[in-house]
Amino acid sequence: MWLPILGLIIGLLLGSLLTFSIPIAYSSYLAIAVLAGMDSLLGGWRAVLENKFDGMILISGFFLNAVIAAFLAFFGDMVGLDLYLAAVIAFGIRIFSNIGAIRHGAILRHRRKKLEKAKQLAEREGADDDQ
Amino acid sequence: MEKSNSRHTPNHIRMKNVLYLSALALLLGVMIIIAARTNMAQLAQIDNNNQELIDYIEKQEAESAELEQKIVNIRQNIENIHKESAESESMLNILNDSLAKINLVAGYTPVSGPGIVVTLDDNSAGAELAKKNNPVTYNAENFIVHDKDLLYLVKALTNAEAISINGIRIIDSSSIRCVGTVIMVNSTRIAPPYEISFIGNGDALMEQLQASGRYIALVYKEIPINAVKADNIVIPAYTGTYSTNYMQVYRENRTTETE
Repeated sequence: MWLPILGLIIGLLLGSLLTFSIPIAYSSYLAIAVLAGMDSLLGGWRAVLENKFDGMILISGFFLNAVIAAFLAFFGDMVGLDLYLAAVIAFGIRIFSNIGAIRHGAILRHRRKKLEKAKQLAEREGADDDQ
Repeated sequence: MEKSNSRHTPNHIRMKNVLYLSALALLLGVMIIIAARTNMAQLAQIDNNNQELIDYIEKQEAESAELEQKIVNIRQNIENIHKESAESESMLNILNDSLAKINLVAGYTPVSGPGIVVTLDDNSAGAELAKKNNPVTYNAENFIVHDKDLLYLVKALTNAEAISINGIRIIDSSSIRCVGTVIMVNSTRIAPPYEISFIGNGDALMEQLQASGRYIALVYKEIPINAVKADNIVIPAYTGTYSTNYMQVYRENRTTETE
């Protein structure tokens, strides 16, 4: 489970090594895309914890959400409306709900593991008793 | 173990999922850094813009200081010009004085001064008598004042500075001529008695008058002619115009100027 976090850290390092930067005019679009990506990633984590992870859904959601969010921001700029706020709020809420779900899932999983361990211990003891 | 694992995805699939997540996390990390760097660059640019604005403001301030200095200079200039114009006012006074003098000489101003007044009239009494005594030789022209009489009298008194006949100013272009039975001075018809006013040295004028042939002739013809010195003769201004239709100010050959 630590691998994605490792991936993130490697990504950050890689980004730091690259001297690539995009035109300032598109910086807000990239920022909104980053927000969408974070949401997708957390959603993926949550899905893993909830055992309904689908790689295709994750990847398509990651890119499509990023593109759509960026386009929304761009369109907002075109028509003079702060439409990026819609993306910010939607993704913000989803990020929090995903984090909440991850927290729930992690805690439940931890408890289940504990319970299973106790069960196994009890079974083993029972077996011992049987012997 | 088997039972509990049935609720989970198989291990190899789970590993694949984690790899997906990791790859996307890596990509997200790169994106975050790029976004952050771009934002930094933007902030730096804003700083640059601020610097540019500061430079611009400083430049404008320098410019406005310069303009203020210009204003000060211009005010100084205006003050100088005022001073100069005060000087030129005295210049203007000189010009006005000279203009007044020219107007005076030209006859455009009413003048007063000492001089002599000569009055003469047709010899009506003499004419009647002559008509009665010897009507055959009677010639009315011998008993009246002619335009030439007035003209020659005026011409004779060269010491006069200003002349008028019956209140009509005589200037250098004035005409005294006979139109039918009346005398016309300038553009005004006059009738006897005639009063010719001369301003000038009264004695000199009187001498010139008495020395002039026309005066002697008039006296001989017994035309009533009377000359008196006066202290305060008033002669009105010339009311006509000088015509300058043909003449113009003569200018020296221009070649000398262009050299």
